[in-house]
Formats: sequence, C-alpha cells, structure tokens
Amino acid sequence: MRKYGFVWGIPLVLFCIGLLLQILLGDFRIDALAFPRNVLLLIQFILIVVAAHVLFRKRNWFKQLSQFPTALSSIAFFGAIVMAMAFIPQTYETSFASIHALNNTWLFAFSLMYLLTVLLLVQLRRLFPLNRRNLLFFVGHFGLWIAIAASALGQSDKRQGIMTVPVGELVWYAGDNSGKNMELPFALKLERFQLENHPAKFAIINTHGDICELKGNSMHEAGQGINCNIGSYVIQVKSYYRDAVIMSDSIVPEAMGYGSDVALVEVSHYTDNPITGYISNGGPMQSSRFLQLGHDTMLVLLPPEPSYFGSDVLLYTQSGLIASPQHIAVNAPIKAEGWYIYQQAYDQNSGKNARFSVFLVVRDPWLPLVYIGIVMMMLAAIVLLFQKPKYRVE
Amino acid sequence: MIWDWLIVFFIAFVALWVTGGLFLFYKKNTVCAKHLPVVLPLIASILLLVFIVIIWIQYNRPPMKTMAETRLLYSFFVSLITWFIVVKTRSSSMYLLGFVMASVFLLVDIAKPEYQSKNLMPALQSVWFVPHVVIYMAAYAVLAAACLSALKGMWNLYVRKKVFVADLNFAMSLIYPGFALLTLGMLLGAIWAKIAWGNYWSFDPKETWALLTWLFYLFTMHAYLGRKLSSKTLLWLLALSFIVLVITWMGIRYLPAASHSIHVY
Repeated sequence: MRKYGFVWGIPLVLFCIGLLLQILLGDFRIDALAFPRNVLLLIQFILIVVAAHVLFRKRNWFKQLSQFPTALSSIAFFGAIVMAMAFIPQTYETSFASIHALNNTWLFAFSLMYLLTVLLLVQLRRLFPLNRRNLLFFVGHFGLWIAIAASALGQSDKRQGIMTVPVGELVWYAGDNSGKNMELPFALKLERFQLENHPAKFAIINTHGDICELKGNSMHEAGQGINCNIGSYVIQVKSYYRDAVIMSDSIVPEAMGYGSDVALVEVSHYTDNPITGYISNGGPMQSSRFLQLGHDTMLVLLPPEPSYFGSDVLLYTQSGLIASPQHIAVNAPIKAEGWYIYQQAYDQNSGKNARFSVFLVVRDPWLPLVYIGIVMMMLAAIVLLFQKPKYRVE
Repeated sequence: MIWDWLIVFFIAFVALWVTGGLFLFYKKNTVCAKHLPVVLPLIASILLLVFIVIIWIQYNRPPMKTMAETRLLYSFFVSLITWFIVVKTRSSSMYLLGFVMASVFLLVDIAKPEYQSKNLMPALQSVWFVPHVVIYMAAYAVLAAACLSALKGMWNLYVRKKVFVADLNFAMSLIYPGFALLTLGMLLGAIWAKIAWGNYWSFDPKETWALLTWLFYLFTMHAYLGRKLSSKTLLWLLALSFIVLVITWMGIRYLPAASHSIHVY
C-alpha cells in the first residue's frame, strides 16, 4: 500500500485547497458556468486528460493514477462528502463553510472532479484491446462518467419555476427560486381542475389533536354501513356522505364540491350508553365537527387525502400559437418547447372547487446526456447480475 | 383484517423451514434429506408470495408502501434467495441465517403491522413504483445474504481460528448481483423522480443515504478486486456496508438530517 501513498495525498490536498477556497471565496458558483462555458470547460478537461494520458502513460507515477488505489481514493473522497451530507441536515441555510448546503461547496466540486478525472484515466487505459470485457467495463464506467458530468455541468443551464394558473385564465410566466417572474415560450389556460379523494378515515384524537395509538386499530376507513372497532370503541355508521354540508337541523347531501365527508355515527363503549352524532372533516363551507367520547377523547374524520389530481389545460406554444387541449396530472407531465410541465399542487383550501392549479416547469437541456449515462449504467448492471468476480485464494 | 392472518402464514412458514432444516442438519444420507430442505422452504416462500398477492388484491394497490409491507416483501426475497443459495451450495449455516433473518422481519410485522396507512398518494401511483421497490428489496436481500456470509467468515476467523477466504469469496459472489440490483433500483428511482417530481436527483436524505450505500459497496468491490486491502478488512467493510444499507432502509426517519425527506414513511 505504501508505494501508493501519494494517491491518498491527492484527495487530502484537494480537501485542504477546497476548504481554503470555500472560506476565502464562498460557495462554488455552478451557475457561473452557463453555456457555452460549461461545454468549453468539458472539452478542455477531456483534452487535458487525454493529452496527459498520451504523454505520460508509460511513466510509473502516471500508471498508478488509473489503478485500484486511486479508484479507492476517489470513491472515498466523494463518499466522505456524501457521508457528511447524510449526517448533517442539508437545509440550505447560511452556515460556516456551507455545511448545510454541501453540494454548493468547493469540496463537493473537487471530489466530483477528482472522481471524473480518475474515471476518465481508467477508461483511457482500458480502451484497448477492443474485447468484450473492456467493452462492458467501458459501458459501466463511461455511463457513470457521462451521467455525473452531464448532471453537474447541466445544473448551470437548468431553469425551473412555479406557475400558478387560476381557473379560466391564461398564464405565460413562472416564478423562479428568487421569486422573480420569468417569461416562458408557452402559455397555459386552465380549463378545469379535477380532484378525487380517498374515503376519509375515523380516528380518535386527544385534546392536543394527536391521534391516540390504541390497541388493534388506530384508524378505520369510513363508508356507508361500516361497522368497526377503534381500540375498545365500536363505531357504527348510520349514514355517510362524500360531499355534504351540515346545517343547523338538516343535511345538504350533495353540495356541488363545496361539502366535505360527513358521517352520522353511533359509538358504543363497553356498557356505556351509545353516543350518536354527525362528524365531518370540514371543507370550504364548514369547519370540522367531532364527537366527544370522554373528557379528553373525541372521534373525528381525518382530513381527506387526495387519490388523484390533474388539470385540463389549453396549451399555446410560441412556435404554433395553436391552442391544444392537454391533461396534466401527477406522474403524467407534458412537454412544450423544451420544457416539462408537472402538476405540483392546487388550491387546497377550496378542495374540489380549487380556484387555481400549481405547475412546476423545468427546462434541462442536458437531460438527454444524463439519460444516455443512466441507460449505459443500467445495461452494465444487467450484465453484472450474471458475472462473478475473480476470487481470492487462501 | 388481512394482517391478522399473517401469524397463520408465519407459523406455516416456520414449520416448513424447521422441518426442512432438521433433515438438512441431521438425516444426512436419505432421500428425504436430499429433497425436503429444498422443497419445503420453497413452499414457504410461495406461501409468503400468496399472502402478498392477497393483500395486493384486497387493498387494490401494490403492498409496498408502508414499512410493514416492505418488510414482508423483504422476508419473501430473503427466503427465496436463501433457498436459491441452499440449492446451489447445500450450506446449512446459510440456511439457518437466512431463515432467522426472514423470520425476524415477519415477527416484527406481526408485532407492528401498521395496517392503518392504506392509501396511496398520487405520486406513488406510477408504473415505476413496483419495479423500484421490488428491485430494491431484492438487492437488500442479496446483500443481507452477503453480510451473513461475511459474519460467518468473522466467526471462522475470530472464534474458530480457521481459514475464512471461502466465506469472503462467497460474499463477494453475492455482491455482484446485489450491487447490480442496487444500481438498477437507484436508477429506476431517478427516472421515476424525473417524471413525478421534475428532478432525477435532489439530494433528498433518502437519496443521499442510498448513494452512500451504493458508494460503500462500490468501494468494497474495488477493494476486493484491487487486492490491496486484506481479506480481514474486507469482511469488516462488508458488515459496515450492510449497516449503512439498513440505516438507509429503516433508520432514516430517526436522523435529524431527514426530517423533511419525501421518502419517510
């Protein structure tokens, strides 16, 4: 191991320089590397490494840079930074040496750069002869290289924003991270917002509003005709409405999306007299209603959990200027003018009659390269599934 | 309540493994000893699969959301992979270790079924959900088997003062498929994240820990192949890597760094 001492010195030196730069200059500004700077940097980097390989590949010290100890030192250096990120909360608040935003630091940048350099050197050494083993090696290692390089350098060209679109209105801008509006090459008009909820659940809460963890079941799905136990309470549903409003002496069972889950329940507890009453999880027209069971316990319907939400929109693009009807939902984004549009949130206070829908818009021109890297790594992983290492002997 | 039935499946599972085990350990040269340790654990694994399918049908969604559900899936994979190893190697210690591990996770599920959280939020309703979780659980199970083999090596090294390189080699032969599955699970997760949240990687605490786990195994593989670290160090590295893996899977929610992770469940 001793003759490889210097390859462990490299991350140590990089660590010291990185820390010094971090303290003197502040964060590593990846956004300063926007196109075309990132492309030029990448080309320079590859040229320098290839030139070094051509010039020095016969030298002993250079050979060591593409051998196992160097690989280990580069994985360990990057791993150490990732480990720090795993233990220190990454809240992105201002802190000494940016320890709460480590992926913005010089240390992180240097560890990636070292990893990329070693990966590239190793591939250059293993490029020839062209055989099956070297090809598999290339697919796995170069896949990782391209995925890391493209995602790191692509950061500076990535644009992201939040688009809040009220029902019936046309919006062509999005708020970015700093709160400023940026104009988009497309516009969205929100035609209709759709929301579906899971059936509400019964739970017993205490006066602090915490759900009581009871033996057996702590919650139970509500529904017409349900008869269930929560702890030692027996709950019988007399009637159940998905979208109702409780008036002073009656019920509006169909409230056109303005109501909430409402249940008429009878609760028995051992030999006590059963208690009957309406409960509701509350909505735009009414506050929630509970049933008092003991002096510090009450039966409630928990707030609804969405099972589905999506938006019908008209999409206007700069190139076409033709309105095309589209549907955007969670897990089903659409693409326009190089931007991905994601359903992100909605007007939760109004529930099914949401007055606006919230979209995340992302433009990431380096994405295809990242995907190429990911696919290469996947191919290598599939082959690796069926491989065996060269075993050590006693 | 379907989870109440787990105990029945568990008893059947244990009975099948123990019976198979008795034949494996004691009645060495009979027809029964040849076939029962192979057939019975396989039936036990199939029983677990049946239970998983029943929950899937009853919940009308893949049972891969809550901790209890992932533990069930994990037990299934551990038992299946142990079965596979036993078929290949007839190793009685792997039989025992795999059986104990699968049973412990089932026992935790019986004690803490967490059946209340049944709903699937929209982001999880994706074609990527099942492959992502299944591949990860399979990876965890294979890497657990590798860790068990490393522990066996440590036992041989420190207690019995015997050679242990065979255990290390066996562990490493499992690291290859385990690491491959870990890589696939992580990359499928990245593609899904791009579709569901707009970014393929966002250093969410679970992602950071998953990356750390991946780097630990990457380091171990290179250290083994490079022949520069001693075999003894490698045993410890394998055990340490598995500890990191378990923290990634189950320990995240107890860490201050993960209070706002999207993966806490």
